[in-house]
Amino acid sequence: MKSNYYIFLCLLPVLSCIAEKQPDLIPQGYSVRTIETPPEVFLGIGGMEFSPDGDLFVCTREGEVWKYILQDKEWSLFADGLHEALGIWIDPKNAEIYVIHRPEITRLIDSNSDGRADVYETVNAGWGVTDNYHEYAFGLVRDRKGNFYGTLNTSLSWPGWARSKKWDIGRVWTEGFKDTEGKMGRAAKYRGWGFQVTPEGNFIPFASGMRSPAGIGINNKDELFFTDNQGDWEASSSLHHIVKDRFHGHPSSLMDHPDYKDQDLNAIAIEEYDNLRKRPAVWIPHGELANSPGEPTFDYTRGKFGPFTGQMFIGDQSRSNMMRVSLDKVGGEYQGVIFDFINRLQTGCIRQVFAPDGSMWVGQTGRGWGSAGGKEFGLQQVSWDGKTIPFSMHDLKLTKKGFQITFTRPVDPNLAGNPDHYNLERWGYHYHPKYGSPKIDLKKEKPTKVEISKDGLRVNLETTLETNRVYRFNLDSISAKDGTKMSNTKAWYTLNRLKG
Amino acid sequence: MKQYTAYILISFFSIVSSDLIGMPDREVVIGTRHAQLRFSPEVFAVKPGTYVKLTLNNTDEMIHNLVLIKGGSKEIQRLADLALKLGERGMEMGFVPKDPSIISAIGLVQPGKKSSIEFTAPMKKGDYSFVCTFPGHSLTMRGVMKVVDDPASVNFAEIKRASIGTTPKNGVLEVGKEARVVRVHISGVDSGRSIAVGLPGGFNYLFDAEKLMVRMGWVGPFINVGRDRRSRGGGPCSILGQKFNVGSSEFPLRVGNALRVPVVRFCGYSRLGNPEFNYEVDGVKVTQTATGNPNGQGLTYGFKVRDAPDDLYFLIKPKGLRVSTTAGKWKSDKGLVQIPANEANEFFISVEPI
Repeated sequence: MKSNYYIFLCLLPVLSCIAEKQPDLIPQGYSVRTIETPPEVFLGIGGMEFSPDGDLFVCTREGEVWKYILQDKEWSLFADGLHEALGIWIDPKNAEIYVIHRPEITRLIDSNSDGRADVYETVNAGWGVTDNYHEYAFGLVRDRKGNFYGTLNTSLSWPGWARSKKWDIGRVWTEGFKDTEGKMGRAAKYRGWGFQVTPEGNFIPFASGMRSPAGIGINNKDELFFTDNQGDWEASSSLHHIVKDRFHGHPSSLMDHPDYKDQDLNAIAIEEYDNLRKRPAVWIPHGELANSPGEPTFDYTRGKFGPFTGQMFIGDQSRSNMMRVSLDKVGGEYQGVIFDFINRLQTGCIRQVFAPDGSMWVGQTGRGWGSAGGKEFGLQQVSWDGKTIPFSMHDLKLTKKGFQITFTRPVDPNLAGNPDHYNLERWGYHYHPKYGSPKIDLKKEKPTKVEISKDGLRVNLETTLETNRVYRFNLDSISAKDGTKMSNTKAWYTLNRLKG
Repeated sequence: MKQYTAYILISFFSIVSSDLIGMPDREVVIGTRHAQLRFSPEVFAVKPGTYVKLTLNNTDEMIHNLVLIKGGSKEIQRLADLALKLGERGMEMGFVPKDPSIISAIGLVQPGKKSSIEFTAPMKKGDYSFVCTFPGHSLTMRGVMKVVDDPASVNFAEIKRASIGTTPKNGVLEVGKEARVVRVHISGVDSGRSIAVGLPGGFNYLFDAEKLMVRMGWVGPFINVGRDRRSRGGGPCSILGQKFNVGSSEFPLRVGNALRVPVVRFCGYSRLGNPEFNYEVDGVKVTQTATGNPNGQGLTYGFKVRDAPDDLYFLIKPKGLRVSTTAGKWKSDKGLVQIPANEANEFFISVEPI
């Protein structure tokens, strides 16, 4: 028996070359390949970027930067001794490498060209940081004007969790709630802020109200987005559009806001915070879609990664799935829809980057919060075969009377024409200092009218529209005209504003 | 100008062959490196079945033993755990547990003493480990006995490389031929921006990149970063080895006025050679290095200051320290070294616990 077992073990690598086990949920035409990471190295990926030469640079939670040469499958250590590096940016013009870690943004310079960084130049350290483990610094993106952006986690402040009173600063629970509801706080300057560092090197606190903003992304119009994790003051995980001076809802950061300096944040009524906050552009419902989302990345591969060009991809550290977002600008503000895309990969997904060949590389860490799959870390490549158009919802947008769903291929008109096949639900969330929120005012209903376009690619639904609601669609009874099953049958649309 | 260099004491092993029956085929002497918790040499090679006389020459100030075992790092860890579990009986048994993996062992050897043992090397070729199982020493005090047909062919230089870069499973970062520079939170040090530096030769210090001060120094092994790199990260890590006081003061380097806290900016560091920290004090550019003192504990700081507009002051809490400087004067009553502007271009300040 034992010897059989060994033979099996020996065959494993061979088998994995032939056909790697694929996730249960993955659109047709897509496949996943697991990349071998350097032996005996903890590679908890915190950031990924391709250099202009096409080499992949990976920075890690263990404070290292590794270079991977794709054609040779060869890893080499470029830098070490950083403090939990959670973002990297490489200048496409001159290949300069920047990382963000707990204490600062650092430029890594290999001055003697031996393949290892030897000068660690501090670019900016404008924020406060203590030895509180939760004070992560996330990033790193840069706009076309040369401004860097990153986000700063709040401190873990409630003594019952932090096991010390020394960080119990800036916790907010407001009147009517127990003081233990406020969990996160601000033990140092600008915790809970998104920041900008100008090309001249000035640190500018940019937007406040963040809790655990584990990923920041930028689109080709230099618009910024970040994801936040469910927790105190955060009803569910979410995606936000960052605009200068915006307040995103978690009050601790207001300690560093000029309008709130020296004010008792617990004496301010919850209604004031509610009026001040900008709601998430897209709710990512906790438990059913994601528990701790990572960075948003836009697909600008011009079709090399399939039919979703211009849309956004987000991974989740807890459920180890990849999601897809399409934004919908309504009344000048972003809201939009989120779909599950791949469920699931080998472990927690927090970073991704598109390779020059259009494949998506997913950087993974499963350390600390328990990730589905259970691996401590990993790297996987998701590729599209270049020809198979999966059958799925391509987009879902708000109309004046309901929603328009676009499909990647023509739908079966008999199935898609039946209002019973949309399983519509809508709900809201509390805004409160408590940890997460249940769904409130949950309503189920059918569309009142369903209209299919002649080409079978679009369906217009009419239904009751209500603001500040998440609409969930479940289309698992609908297949394509040729009988193909839909790859991802659910969609979650966040309706903040109605179409004017 | 005085310059200090850290010297490493190395004992060499000798080979004595003999035709006499009952005399060992081979004699090996293993020394201990002063204050580094390291053996020297850390590798030796013998032929299978050789009758070996092994001597532990303890030139260190601490007590050590030497246990030769079958197996590698896992076995070392297991043996070290067994030794620790001996508890009160440990000293009496020389921290040598009873275990079938042990080939031979030298019990506790007092500082400055020697002890020998004779044994027959295994017939089976391969790597065997030797370790000091005195509590706390096994992480760094370990070496390899190679059983090979041709001991002369073993390339010792290649083997003596310490692991670089990555986090070992036990969390212990070692220092090899090159200095290590690692951002870390150290237990008991209230700073979010600490940088641990491990120099070859067993001197280590902690630089605070916010207050631009060296927080502490220690001799021996470097750091354990396990608590930063397990679970959610960011946890307090520990220094290994023996800590010593360096009279740390916040923002110790000042320009023109010793009493005024300066406006500072940390600019990063260079790892070309001995690590150099770059920072600005009231706009004056400073480069700072540190080296170990040859006679035990203490550090020597090297400063390069570009265009000092005025006298400089370097603050040190004088208690229990001997301070010397290559420029200006140490005023122990005021707890500062005053460096005239015209000598500030390059100078060295040495702090040594008395």
